[in-house]
Amino acid sequence: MQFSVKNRDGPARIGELLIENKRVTTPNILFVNTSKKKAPNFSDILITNDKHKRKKPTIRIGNSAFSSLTHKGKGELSVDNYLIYPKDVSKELHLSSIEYNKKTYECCLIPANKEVISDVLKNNDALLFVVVNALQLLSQQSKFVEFITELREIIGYQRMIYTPCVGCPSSFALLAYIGVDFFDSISAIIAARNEILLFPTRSLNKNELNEIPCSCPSCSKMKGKVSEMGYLQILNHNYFAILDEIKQVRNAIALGNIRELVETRIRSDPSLASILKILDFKYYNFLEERTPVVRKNKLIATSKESLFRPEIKRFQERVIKRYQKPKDVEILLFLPCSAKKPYSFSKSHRLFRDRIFNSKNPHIVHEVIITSPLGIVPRELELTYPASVYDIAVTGRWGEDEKKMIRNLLKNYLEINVYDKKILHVSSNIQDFVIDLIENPVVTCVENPTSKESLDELSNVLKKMTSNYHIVKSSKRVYENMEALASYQFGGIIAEKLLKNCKIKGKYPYQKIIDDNKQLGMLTKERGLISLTMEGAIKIANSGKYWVEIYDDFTLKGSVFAPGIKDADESIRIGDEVIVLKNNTTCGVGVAQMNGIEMKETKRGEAVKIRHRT
Amino acid sequence: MNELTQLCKLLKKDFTPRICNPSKPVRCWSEKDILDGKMVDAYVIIFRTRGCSWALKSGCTMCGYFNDSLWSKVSDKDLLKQFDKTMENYSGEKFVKIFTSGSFLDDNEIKPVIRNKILRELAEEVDKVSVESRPEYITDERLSTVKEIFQSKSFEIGCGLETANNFVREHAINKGFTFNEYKKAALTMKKFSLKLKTYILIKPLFLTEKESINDSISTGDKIKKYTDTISFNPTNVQRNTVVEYLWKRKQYRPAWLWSIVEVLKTSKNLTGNIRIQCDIAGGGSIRGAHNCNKCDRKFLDAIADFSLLQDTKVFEDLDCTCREKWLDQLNIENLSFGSLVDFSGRYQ
Repeated sequence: MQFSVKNRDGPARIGELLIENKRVTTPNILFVNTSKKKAPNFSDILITNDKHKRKKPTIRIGNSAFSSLTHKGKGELSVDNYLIYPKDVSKELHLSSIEYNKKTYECCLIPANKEVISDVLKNNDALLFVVVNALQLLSQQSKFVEFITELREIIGYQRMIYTPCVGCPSSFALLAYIGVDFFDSISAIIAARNEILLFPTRSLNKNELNEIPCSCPSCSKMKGKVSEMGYLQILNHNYFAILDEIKQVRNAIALGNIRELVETRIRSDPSLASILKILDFKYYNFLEERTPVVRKNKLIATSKESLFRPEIKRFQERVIKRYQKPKDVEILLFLPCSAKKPYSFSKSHRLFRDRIFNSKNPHIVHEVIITSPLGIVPRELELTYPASVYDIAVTGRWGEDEKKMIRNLLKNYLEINVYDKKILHVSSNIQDFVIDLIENPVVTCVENPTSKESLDELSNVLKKMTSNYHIVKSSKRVYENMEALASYQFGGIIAEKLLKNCKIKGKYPYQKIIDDNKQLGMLTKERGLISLTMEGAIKIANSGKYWVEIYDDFTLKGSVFAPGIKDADESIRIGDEVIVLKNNTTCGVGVAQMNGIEMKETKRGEAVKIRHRT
Repeated sequence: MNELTQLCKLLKKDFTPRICNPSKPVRCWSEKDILDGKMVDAYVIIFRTRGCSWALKSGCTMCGYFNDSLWSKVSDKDLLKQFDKTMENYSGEKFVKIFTSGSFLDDNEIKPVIRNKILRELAEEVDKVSVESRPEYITDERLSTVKEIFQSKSFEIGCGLETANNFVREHAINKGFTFNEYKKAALTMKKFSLKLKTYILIKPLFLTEKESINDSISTGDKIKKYTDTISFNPTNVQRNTVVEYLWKRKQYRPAWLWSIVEVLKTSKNLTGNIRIQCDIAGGGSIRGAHNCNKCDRKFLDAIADFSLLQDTKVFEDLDCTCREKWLDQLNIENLSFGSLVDFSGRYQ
């Protein structure tokens, strides 16, 4: 067995398992194939307890220590003569079984007790971790999340987790999102025996169906006659249902959309919804470490859970803790968001900006957008993920959760970032819940922010107000905006270092950072972040952040692959700009394809896509 | 000390025995049983003693009989009072069965003088007495006294071997003795021509349904040359046991009645003349061996008939739609690694 991760989206990943010289993509389903149960033709990988050899890759389970039989089949077993105890026995009893099982196989049975994970892992090079009593564990949602996340932290990125009996079309997405790599077809069999048809939205008993809401080959053959569906027909339907959904899950991971699929799938089952809630609230660091900082596709925020997505929380934290506003601005102008992203490309924001630029001193004004679910977005960050791609249902009605979130951020933001004057150009339903937090606010919005009346009022106020300050030159402000963005991307110290003595050239959103005729980096609309050149990388190389060190004898050609990495900054996230060092000298710069921790521990896969090298 | 032993001990840590009158027996009643191939009335006595010596130390994973014990010494006087009370309701049954929720031959539960006094009184009245004991108390010394009292009358000792597999007995049951110790006791009984009834547990903790069927069948086969009667006893969920602790957490299901039928049919074929019986405590309830509920009564009746008639024909007409679930469980349970406990349970 060999396993490597190909694609990551949060803790979910697409992997490639090489088994019996065949390739199997994960997440996947181990289809039960025994003397009595035939796996469907479309199965990729099988699990069995009998002795026959098969053409397809197969996980072969031998007898337990309590069995009076010994396995007499041909071929290698994935695990044999194993001793497992139910999850709720004492820790000592589990430890005794771990001692008993100390001969390691490529499959390792692990009791669902987090206290013994590290004992199981001692001298253990198994690749597939099979969670014993996974179903009972799942019934205690917080224990389940605690166990799986801890198991993942301990086994690292290069090994697989399998939860026998757990997983059906409505839960695959969520379970994969926590990091489960393998499921099986047992739930499909049990459901079929109980006359239950599985669907991604909700499982339904045969008796609950007036029509068969499915056109899979098995259901099609029924020609609409629900009552004639027997065990085999339902089982075949269930097999198709789990196959379809596992493909959906893999697709979503590849697209970077797994979170959206998760939020859709958990709707039908409160226990799944509570698992996601627990994950978001208690395991933010676990999620955040694994969540990319750049993503091209839309972030669809249509559920309450979207508010607590790790990338949203991270954005909010960085705005408060890392971001530094342009230095010369004195007037804070609050604006509403626009459906079109980036905001400044929208019709409404063009109207606002016309009025700003018609004032005498437009560059003294700092635009900050109030929005859900991001909270507050300074104009210079409008190209960054997720500000550049989020999409919500706009109704003008704000939920209490949203109000609370925005108020908290605003309060923190105003404590750190001081302005002389503040203008509120947002409709009254936003004003209502933020105005008390703003000292001496000037309100320019009359009903609709884009009405002529409102815009004229904005013009009037700006004309008068901006004339009270010294004129901020356009070139200076463009520089400060770039510095503000850089502070969000790299932190303030690196931002200052990078931009020292630089000029900004080019038309927004494509702008170059030029230092004495040498280009250090470029902001692009596509990434929303600064992409560095070699010169840029060299300038900030010894800042102690965003570095990857490769082995001295490693020659940098195309990408940096994990085996070449000696050490890496653990704060690196997927999508981050990283500097490649060799022997303490900068030899390349590129984009992280895995996070810093995975780079350090993993032996396979592309770690950094190189843009420039010496 | 074995970790399972520790767990059994740990679960009894907070157990406080019910306060009860040491001069009254737990229960006594009359029931039907077989004596010399004929149906007769049998009189059942359950003495209240300090309890099973093994249970007091740690105990077996499935055994909750200690709940009936006093956990402190019962005086000789009280034991005799208990006996006197039971004899008030005795109406001449020729077969008397004595239980103590422990070992009748353990001197710490009932002193030899009292034990022999009770046996002497009974020997005058009845044709057969049966008692229970762990093998360590089945010794030459005790049996010679018994033999002296009973002479040619029938005396039977029930002994809970549970399984012939030492690993299962130690790591799933915590029985506290080995197969060899059982065999030694059995040979001692033979020497005195006393009758041995061996209890075999159907579905100990930690075994899958299929493993437990195989375990029970192979145990029956291995002990047929040592025992006169085999009594298959399916685990029922008794209070304050490790079994109950895990059953409540959905990590144990008592055996299917289908499995029991399977064990009885196969064992009858394998063991020939040995008498096979099966008492299903709590049968048909969620705490006892059960099927789908719809067919349970039919199965329990057939099993009871089998115990009397010793004829596997009684099982011929049994059928139910739940058979497929049972077969599935046999087929795939070990692939679920503990998750698939019960087919009617939740799936996810």
